[in-house]
Amino acid sequence: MPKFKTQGIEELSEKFDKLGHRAEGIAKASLYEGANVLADAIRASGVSNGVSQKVLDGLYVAEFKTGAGSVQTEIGFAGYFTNENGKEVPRALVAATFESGTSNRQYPKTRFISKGFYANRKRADSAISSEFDKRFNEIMGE
Amino acid sequence: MGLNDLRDALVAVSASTYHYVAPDNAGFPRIVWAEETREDLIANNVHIEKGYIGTIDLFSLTEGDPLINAIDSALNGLGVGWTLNNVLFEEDTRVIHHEWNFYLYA
Repeated sequence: MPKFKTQGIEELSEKFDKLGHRAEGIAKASLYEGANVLADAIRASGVSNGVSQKVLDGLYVAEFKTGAGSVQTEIGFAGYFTNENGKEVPRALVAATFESGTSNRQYPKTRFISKGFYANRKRADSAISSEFDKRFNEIMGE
Repeated sequence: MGLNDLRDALVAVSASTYHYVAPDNAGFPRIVWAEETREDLIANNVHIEKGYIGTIDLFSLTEGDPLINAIDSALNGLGVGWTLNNVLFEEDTRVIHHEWNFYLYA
Protein backbone atom coordinates (compact mmCIF):
# COMPACT_ATOMS: atom_id res chain seq x y z
CA MET A 1 0.00 0.00 0.00
CA PRO A 2 1.59 3.31 -1.02
CA LYS A 3 1.83 5.97 1.62
CA PHE A 4 1.39 9.66 1.05
CA LYS A 5 2.63 12.34 3.32
CA THR A 6 1.55 15.91 2.94
CA GLN A 7 2.62 18.97 4.84
CA GLY A 8 1.06 22.34 5.30
CA ILE A 9 -2.56 21.23 4.98
CA GLU A 10 -3.63 23.53 7.80
CA GLU A 11 -1.84 26.46 6.22
CA LEU A 12 -3.45 25.72 2.87
CA SER A 13 -6.84 25.42 4.51
CA GLU A 14 -6.37 28.84 6.14
CA LYS A 15 -5.51 30.32 2.77
CA PHE A 16 -8.62 28.90 1.19
CA ASP A 17 -10.62 30.35 4.10
CA LYS A 18 -9.12 33.75 3.38
CA LEU A 19 -9.91 33.32 -0.28
CA GLY A 20 -13.50 32.47 0.51
CA HIS A 21 -13.99 35.69 2.42
CA ARG A 22 -12.43 37.78 -0.31
CA ALA A 23 -13.71 35.96 -3.39
CA GLU A 24 -16.38 38.53 -4.17
CA GLY A 25 -13.90 41.38 -3.88
CA ILE A 26 -11.50 39.61 -6.23
CA ALA A 27 -14.28 38.96 -8.74
CA LYS A 28 -15.40 42.60 -8.66
CA ALA A 29 -11.87 43.97 -9.03
CA SER A 30 -11.25 41.61 -11.96
CA LEU A 31 -14.51 42.48 -13.69
CA TYR A 32 -13.77 46.16 -13.18
CA GLU A 33 -10.59 45.81 -15.23
CA GLY A 34 -12.41 43.99 -18.05
CA ALA A 35 -15.33 46.41 -18.09
CA ASN A 36 -12.94 49.37 -18.33
CA VAL A 37 -11.22 47.81 -21.35
CA LEU A 38 -14.57 47.45 -23.12
CA ALA A 39 -15.88 50.88 -22.09
CA ASP A 40 -12.70 52.54 -23.39
CA ALA A 41 -12.91 50.51 -26.60
CA ILE A 42 -16.56 51.46 -27.18
CA ARG A 43 -15.76 55.12 -26.53
CA ALA A 44 -12.87 55.01 -29.03
CA SER A 45 -15.05 53.18 -31.54
CA GLY A 46 -17.72 55.85 -31.11
CA VAL A 47 -15.22 58.62 -31.80
CA SER A 48 -13.88 56.92 -34.93
CA ASN A 49 -17.40 56.20 -36.19
CA GLY A 50 -18.57 59.79 -35.81
CA VAL A 51 -20.80 59.38 -32.77
CA SER A 52 -21.49 62.72 -31.08
CA GLN A 53 -19.37 63.49 -28.05
CA LYS A 54 -22.60 64.53 -26.32
CA VAL A 55 -23.69 60.89 -26.54
CA LEU A 56 -20.32 59.42 -25.55
CA ASP A 57 -20.20 61.68 -22.48
CA GLY A 58 -22.94 59.48 -20.98
CA LEU A 59 -21.07 56.18 -21.33
CA TYR A 60 -21.06 54.38 -18.00
CA VAL A 61 -20.18 51.10 -16.35
CA ALA A 62 -23.07 50.14 -14.09
CA GLU A 63 -22.85 49.31 -10.43
CA PHE A 64 -21.91 45.66 -10.04
CA LYS A 65 -24.61 43.14 -9.19
CA THR A 66 -23.81 39.98 -7.29
CA GLY A 67 -25.84 36.85 -6.90
CA ALA A 68 -25.90 33.12 -7.60
CA GLY A 69 -22.12 32.94 -7.52
CA SER A 70 -21.58 35.58 -10.16
CA VAL A 71 -20.77 39.26 -10.51
CA GLN A 72 -22.31 41.18 -13.39
CA THR A 73 -22.29 44.64 -14.79
CA GLU A 74 -23.37 46.40 -17.94
CA ILE A 75 -22.11 49.23 -20.09
CA GLY A 76 -24.67 51.78 -21.20
CA PHE A 77 -25.48 55.42 -21.84
CA ALA A 78 -27.03 57.57 -19.14
CA GLY A 79 -28.86 60.86 -19.08
CA TYR A 80 -30.05 63.35 -21.65
CA PHE A 81 -28.46 65.99 -23.82
CA THR A 82 -29.74 68.93 -25.87
CA ASN A 83 -29.64 68.23 -29.59
CA GLU A 84 -29.20 70.76 -32.40
CA ASN A 85 -32.95 71.44 -32.38
CA GLY A 86 -32.84 72.42 -28.72
CA LYS A 87 -34.67 69.26 -27.69
CA GLU A 88 -33.72 67.14 -24.68
CA VAL A 89 -33.08 63.62 -25.94
CA PRO A 90 -32.06 60.47 -24.07
CA ARG A 91 -28.50 59.38 -24.80
CA ALA A 92 -29.46 55.68 -24.71
CA LEU A 93 -31.97 56.19 -27.53
CA VAL A 94 -29.54 58.16 -29.67
CA ALA A 95 -26.78 55.60 -29.05
CA ALA A 96 -29.15 52.81 -30.08
CA THR A 97 -30.05 54.73 -33.24
CA PHE A 98 -26.38 55.22 -34.11
CA GLU A 99 -25.78 51.52 -33.44
CA SER A 100 -28.76 50.09 -35.33
CA GLY A 101 -29.38 52.73 -38.00
CA THR A 102 -32.77 53.76 -39.34
CA SER A 103 -34.99 52.96 -42.31
CA ASN A 104 -33.55 56.08 -43.95
CA ARG A 105 -30.39 55.18 -45.84
CA GLN A 106 -28.88 58.51 -44.86
CA TYR A 107 -28.56 57.10 -41.33
CA PRO A 108 -27.14 53.60 -41.66
CA LYS A 109 -25.88 51.43 -38.83
CA THR A 110 -22.56 52.42 -37.34
CA ARG A 111 -22.32 49.36 -35.04
CA PHE A 112 -19.82 51.27 -32.93
CA ILE A 113 -20.76 49.33 -29.79
CA SER A 114 -20.51 45.92 -31.46
CA LYS A 115 -17.25 46.80 -33.18
CA GLY A 116 -15.72 47.94 -29.92
CA PHE A 117 -17.02 44.87 -28.13
CA TYR A 118 -16.08 42.11 -30.57
CA ALA A 119 -12.66 43.54 -31.38
CA ASN A 120 -11.72 43.82 -27.70
CA ARG A 121 -13.56 40.99 -25.95
CA LYS A 122 -10.45 38.81 -25.74
CA ARG A 123 -8.42 41.73 -24.41
CA ALA A 124 -11.09 42.25 -21.75
CA ASP A 125 -10.97 38.54 -20.88
CA SER A 126 -7.20 38.80 -20.50
CA ALA A 127 -7.52 41.86 -18.26
CA ILE A 128 -9.99 39.99 -16.04
CA SER A 129 -7.76 36.89 -15.84
CA SER A 130 -4.66 38.94 -15.19
CA GLU A 131 -6.25 40.91 -12.33
CA PHE A 132 -7.74 37.72 -10.89
CA ASP A 133 -4.37 35.94 -10.93
CA LYS A 134 -2.65 38.91 -9.33
CA ARG A 135 -5.16 39.15 -6.48
CA PHE A 136 -5.35 35.39 -6.04
CA ASN A 137 -1.57 35.06 -5.80
CA GLU A 138 -1.40 37.95 -3.34
CA ILE A 139 -3.72 36.11 -0.99
CA MET A 140 -2.10 32.73 -1.45
CA GLY A 141 1.28 34.32 -0.81
CA GLU A 142 0.26 35.93 2.48
CA MET B 1 -25.56 25.11 -42.68
CA GLY B 2 -24.34 28.41 -44.05
CA LEU B 3 -25.35 31.97 -44.77
CA ASN B 4 -27.37 30.86 -47.80
CA ASP B 5 -29.62 28.83 -45.50
CA LEU B 6 -30.22 31.91 -43.40
CA ARG B 7 -30.99 33.92 -46.55
CA ASP B 8 -33.45 31.26 -47.76
CA ALA B 9 -35.19 31.11 -44.38
CA LEU B 10 -35.63 34.90 -44.33
CA VAL B 11 -36.85 34.99 -47.93
CA ALA B 12 -39.42 32.34 -46.94
CA VAL B 13 -40.60 34.73 -44.21
CA SER B 14 -40.83 37.67 -46.61
CA ALA B 15 -39.96 38.09 -50.27
CA SER B 16 -38.94 41.66 -49.41
CA THR B 17 -35.64 40.49 -47.96
CA TYR B 18 -32.37 42.20 -48.88
CA HIS B 19 -28.72 41.54 -48.17
CA TYR B 20 -26.64 44.44 -46.78
CA VAL B 21 -28.92 47.23 -48.03
CA ALA B 22 -32.41 47.71 -49.42
CA PRO B 23 -32.91 49.54 -52.71
CA ASP B 24 -34.25 53.09 -52.57
CA ASN B 25 -37.71 52.05 -53.78
CA ALA B 26 -38.11 49.22 -51.25
CA GLY B 27 -41.39 49.51 -49.35
CA PHE B 28 -42.50 48.31 -45.93
CA PRO B 29 -42.32 45.83 -44.40
CA ARG B 30 -38.83 44.83 -45.41
CA ILE B 31 -36.03 42.72 -44.00
CA VAL B 32 -32.36 43.59 -44.36
CA TRP B 33 -29.70 41.20 -43.12
CA ALA B 34 -25.91 41.30 -43.07
CA GLU B 35 -23.05 39.29 -41.67
CA GLU B 36 -20.66 41.59 -39.81
CA THR B 37 -17.83 39.66 -38.26
CA ARG B 38 -16.54 36.16 -37.62
CA GLU B 39 -15.70 34.37 -34.41
CA ASP B 40 -14.62 30.92 -35.61
CA LEU B 41 -14.10 27.85 -33.51
CA ILE B 42 -10.37 27.18 -33.67
CA ALA B 43 -8.54 24.01 -32.65
CA ASN B 44 -4.82 23.46 -33.23
CA ASN B 45 -4.77 26.65 -35.30
CA VAL B 46 -7.37 25.21 -37.66
CA HIS B 47 -10.69 27.00 -38.14
CA ILE B 48 -12.92 23.99 -37.61
CA GLU B 49 -16.19 25.95 -37.73
CA LYS B 50 -16.98 29.36 -39.12
CA GLY B 51 -18.87 31.53 -36.68
CA TYR B 52 -20.79 34.31 -38.39
CA ILE B 53 -22.15 37.19 -36.35
CA GLY B 54 -24.52 39.64 -37.96
CA THR B 55 -27.80 41.46 -37.86
CA ILE B 56 -31.31 41.10 -39.22
CA ASP B 57 -33.47 44.21 -39.41
CA LEU B 58 -37.20 44.34 -39.86
CA PHE B 59 -38.64 47.72 -40.84
CA SER B 60 -42.41 47.72 -40.54
CA LEU B 61 -45.28 50.18 -40.24
CA THR B 62 -47.44 47.61 -38.44
CA GLU B 63 -47.53 47.35 -34.66
CA GLY B 64 -47.14 43.70 -33.64
CA ASP B 65 -46.25 42.70 -37.18
CA PRO B 66 -46.55 38.86 -37.54
CA LEU B 67 -43.16 38.95 -39.27
CA ILE B 68 -41.56 39.50 -35.86
CA ASN B 69 -42.59 36.06 -34.65
CA ALA B 70 -41.95 34.59 -38.08
CA ILE B 71 -38.31 35.72 -37.94
CA ASP B 72 -37.95 34.33 -34.39
CA SER B 73 -39.35 31.00 -35.61
CA ALA B 74 -37.18 30.92 -38.73
CA LEU B 75 -34.04 31.41 -36.63
CA ASN B 76 -35.14 28.80 -34.11
CA GLY B 77 -35.94 26.40 -36.93
CA LEU B 78 -32.45 26.81 -38.36
CA GLY B 79 -30.80 26.39 -34.95
CA VAL B 80 -29.23 29.81 -35.27
CA GLY B 81 -28.46 31.63 -32.02
CA TRP B 82 -30.02 35.08 -31.73
CA THR B 83 -30.87 37.97 -29.47
CA LEU B 84 -33.28 40.83 -30.07
CA ASN B 85 -30.88 43.74 -29.87
CA ASN B 86 -33.09 46.79 -30.29
CA VAL B 87 -36.64 47.86 -30.96
CA LEU B 88 -36.77 51.45 -32.17
CA PHE B 89 -39.69 53.61 -33.20
CA GLU B 90 -38.96 56.30 -35.78
CA GLU B 91 -41.20 59.24 -34.99
CA ASP B 92 -40.76 60.90 -38.40
CA THR B 93 -41.48 57.85 -40.57
CA ARG B 94 -43.67 55.88 -38.06
CA VAL B 95 -41.49 52.88 -38.83
CA ILE B 96 -41.00 50.26 -36.13
CA HIS B 97 -37.48 48.87 -36.40
CA HIS B 98 -36.63 45.49 -34.87
CA GLU B 99 -33.00 44.41 -34.92
CA TRP B 100 -31.79 40.89 -34.14
CA ASN B 101 -28.19 39.78 -33.66
CA PHE B 102 -27.56 36.31 -35.06
CA TYR B 103 -24.78 33.81 -34.34
CA LEU B 104 -24.46 31.17 -37.02
CA TYR B 105 -21.93 28.32 -36.95
CA ALA B 106 -21.25 26.73 -40.32
